[in-house]
Amino acid sequence: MTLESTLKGHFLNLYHMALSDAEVDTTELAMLYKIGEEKGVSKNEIDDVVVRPDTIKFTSPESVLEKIESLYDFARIAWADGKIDENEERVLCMFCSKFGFENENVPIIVKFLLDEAQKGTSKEDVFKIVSENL
Amino acid sequence: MGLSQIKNGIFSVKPLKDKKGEVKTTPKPSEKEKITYSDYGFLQAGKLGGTFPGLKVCLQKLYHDFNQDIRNDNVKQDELKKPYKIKIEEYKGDNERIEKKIAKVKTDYLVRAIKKIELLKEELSHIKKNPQEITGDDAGKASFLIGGIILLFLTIYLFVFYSSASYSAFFKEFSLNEIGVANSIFDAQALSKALTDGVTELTLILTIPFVFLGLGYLIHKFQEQKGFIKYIKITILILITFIFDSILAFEITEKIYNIKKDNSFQDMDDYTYSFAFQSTNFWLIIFAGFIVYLIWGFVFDFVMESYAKTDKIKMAIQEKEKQIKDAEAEHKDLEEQVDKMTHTIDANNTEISKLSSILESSIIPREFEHDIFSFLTGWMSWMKQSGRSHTDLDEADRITREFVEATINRFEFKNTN
Repeated sequence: MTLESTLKGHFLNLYHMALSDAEVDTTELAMLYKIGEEKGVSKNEIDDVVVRPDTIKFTSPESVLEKIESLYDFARIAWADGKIDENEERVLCMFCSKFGFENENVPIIVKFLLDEAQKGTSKEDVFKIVSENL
Repeated sequence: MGLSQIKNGIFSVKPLKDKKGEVKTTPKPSEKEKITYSDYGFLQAGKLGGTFPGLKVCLQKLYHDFNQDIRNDNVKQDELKKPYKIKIEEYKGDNERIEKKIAKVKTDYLVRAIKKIELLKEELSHIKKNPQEITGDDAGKASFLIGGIILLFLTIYLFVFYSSASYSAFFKEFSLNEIGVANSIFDAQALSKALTDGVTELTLILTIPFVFLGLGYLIHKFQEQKGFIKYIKITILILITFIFDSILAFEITEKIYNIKKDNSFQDMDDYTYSFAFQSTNFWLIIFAGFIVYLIWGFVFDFVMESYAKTDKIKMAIQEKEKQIKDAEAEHKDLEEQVDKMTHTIDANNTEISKLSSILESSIIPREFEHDIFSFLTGWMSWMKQSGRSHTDLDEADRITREFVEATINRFEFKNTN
C-alpha cells in the first residue's frame, strides 16, 4: 500500500509531534509507528523524522481548523486500507486530547472525523461544519 | 451517529497552558538519577512486549529527547562543532590554493604548452617545405630513385658480365667458331654449362661478381673516411681491380690466340702481355668490365649519399614529430591536472556542504551510544527472561546497531567527549 505524499507528510508531522511530546506514552508511539508501517510509510522515512528533523519542515497546528485538518488527514490515513482498527481510533483520540479538545467531546469528534473520511467529504465541507460549531 | 451529535461548541479547545511553565522533552535530573538506562530498557521492553517496532520507537524517543537536551546546551554544541568548523576552513583553504594553482596552470603553463606545439608544427612544416636547409642542397628523393634504378641495372649487368667472363676465363674450352669478340666474352649458357660441370663451378662463377661489387663498396666506404690516406687506399683498390680484370681479359684473349695458333699453318709466337695490350678484345673486356665497375662505384656512392640526405630529412621530421608528440602529451597532462584539481574542489565542496548540514543540526556526542547500549542491555534482559530466542536477541541487537549507525556514526568525526 502506498500513501499519497501529502498524507504521508501529514503522518510524519503527527509522528514528530508525538515524539516531541514529553508526556507521550511509548505504547501510543509504538501504535502510531505500526500504523505508519502498515499504511506504507517506510522505516527510513520514519527514521528521518528523528535523525534528520532539520531537513523536514514540521509544523505544529495552532488554530482549531489546522488541528482538525491534521486529525482529518489522520482519519483518511486510517481509512486508506478500507478498515479502521482499535489502535487507529485510540491514536486519533490521543491526538484530539493533545490538541486540547474537551475530553467529553473527543469520542464524538473522532467518530465525526472517521465517518466523514469514510464518506470522502472534502476538507472544505468538514471545515464548514467545524466553523459552524466552534 | 451522524452530524446530529455535532453541536455548537463541540470543537472548542481548552485554553492554552502557559508555555513557560511547560516542561518539554528534557528529563528532570532527579528522574535521571533514579533510573538507569538499563532499567529503563527493561521496563520499556516489558511495557511494549519486547517487540521490534517497540524497540525502534524507544530508541527514537531516547534519541529525540537526548537531541533536544543537547541542542540547548550551546557550550557543548560549540565544543562538538569546533572540529567540523576547523575541517570546513581546511577544505576552504585547500580550495583557494587549488583554485590559484588551476589559474596558474590555465593562464601560464597551458598557454605556453599550446604555443610550443604551434611553434613545433610551424618548424615541421618549414622542414617539409625547405628540405635543402637540412641537406645543404636540393638533392632529393628523385635523385635517390634515379640513382637507385641505374645502380640496379648496372649491378645486373656486372653480375652477368663477370659471371660469364669468369666462366670463359676459368673453364671454357674455345673452339674455332667461338673466337669472335662476343663469343669470347659472353656465353649465354655460362650458368647452365657451369651447373653441368658441377655445383662448385657454378658457385664460383655466381660469387665472383660479388668480389667486384665488394671492391666497389669498399671504395665507397673508404671515401667516407677522412684524411689523405683514403685516396691511397682507393687507388690501391682500383689498381687491384684493374689487375684482376686484366688477368681475366688476358686469360680469355690468350685462349683465343692459342686456338688461332694451333690451327694456323704458320709459326706464331707465344702469347705475351705486349700482344694482349695490342689486342682489341683485351681492351674490350677491360672496358666492358672494369670501366663499368668504376661507373657502378660512382653511382653507388652517389646513391648512398642521396639516401643519407633523405634519411637526414626523415630523421629531422621524425625528431620534430616526436617533440610535437611530447609537447601534446605535456599539454594533455596539464589538462588532466586541471580536471583532477577541479574534481578535488568539487569533492571538497561536497564535504563542506555535508559538514555544513551537520553543523546546522545538533551533534550527538559519543556518550549517547553508551546510553543506547545500556538501554539495549535492559531490553535484552527482559527478552531473555521472557524466553525469547537467540534470533530475536540478535535482531534486537542489529536494529540498535543500525540505529546507532544512522544517528551517531553518520557524523564524520567521532566525538570522544
